Amino acid sequence: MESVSRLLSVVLACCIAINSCSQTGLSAGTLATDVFAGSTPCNASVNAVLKLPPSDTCVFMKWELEMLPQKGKDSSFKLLISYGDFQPNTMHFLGGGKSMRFVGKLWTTPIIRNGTNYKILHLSSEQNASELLFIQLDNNILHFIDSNMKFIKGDASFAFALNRINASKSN
Amino acid sequence: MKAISSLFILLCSCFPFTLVSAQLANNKANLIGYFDGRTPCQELAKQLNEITTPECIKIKWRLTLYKNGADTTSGTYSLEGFKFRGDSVLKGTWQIVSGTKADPKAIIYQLHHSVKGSLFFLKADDVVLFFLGKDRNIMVGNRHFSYALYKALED
Repeated sequence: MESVSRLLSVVLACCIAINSCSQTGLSAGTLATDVFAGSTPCNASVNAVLKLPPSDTCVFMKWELEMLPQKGKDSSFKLLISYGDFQPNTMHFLGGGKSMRFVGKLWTTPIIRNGTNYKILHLSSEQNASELLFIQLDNNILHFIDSNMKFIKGDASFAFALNRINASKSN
Repeated sequence: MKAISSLFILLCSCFPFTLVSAQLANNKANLIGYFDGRTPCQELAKQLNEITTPECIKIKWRLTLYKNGADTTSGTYSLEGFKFRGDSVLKGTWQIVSGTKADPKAIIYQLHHSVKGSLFFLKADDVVLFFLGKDRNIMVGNRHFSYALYKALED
């Protein structure tokens, strides 16, 4: 009887472990995915990095960035971008806009600003002309920077920032 | 006598313009900049103790910062947007303080207001400010809007 209950306990523990892994979708060595999103103005230097066709209309862009950190390996990312002109009085694109998907490698380098360490995120994809660069201002906010590490300026309508849209992390 | 009184009237009529011009020149010299942006609505309405409708999804802001002459660590401001327009524009003084939770050395503008209390902005860069929440973290926006304000080129 005792051995049966031990066996049941082991089976139950295994079931809980398997269920827990399947719910998070995480395998060994994979860390939680970070998802950031935002809307930005269109900018000539960013368009050039993304190799947007110059003939396309681009007034604003929507971004969704999934960062897939890996333990002991290069991290990777998936990036979905939509762009186009405004459909008046909405946050939609006129005629649906256009979309592009990017996948690639992601790594970070340190930078010191005002005596504090920040991370620069480098996103490299075969589809891009060069790296996309972000400064991580805290656990929840990324801001676009150019190759000279200068903040890319947004405007009165849109920021050049991405916000964490999965559960916020404390700083 | 008539000529003297005419001259006096002329001088008196010019005085207010001279005074206004001097104030404008002074303000222009002390202007740090106009910072514009659109932010999500609900969280800031809550922070400012303002009632709003669920349909309010964004707020257009303009923050104008002036310094106190050579002193660049304090000055005056006006914050326009949301319910704060015309006679209701938020005005007061500011001072530099330091530290967000993520960066204890970060430069922060603390805006004082007699009714609304303090509002905090992170100076991320000379041209970028971020609204901070009551916990002194950068407020987290959504897919459409962030909490950044950008320095406008001109008025």
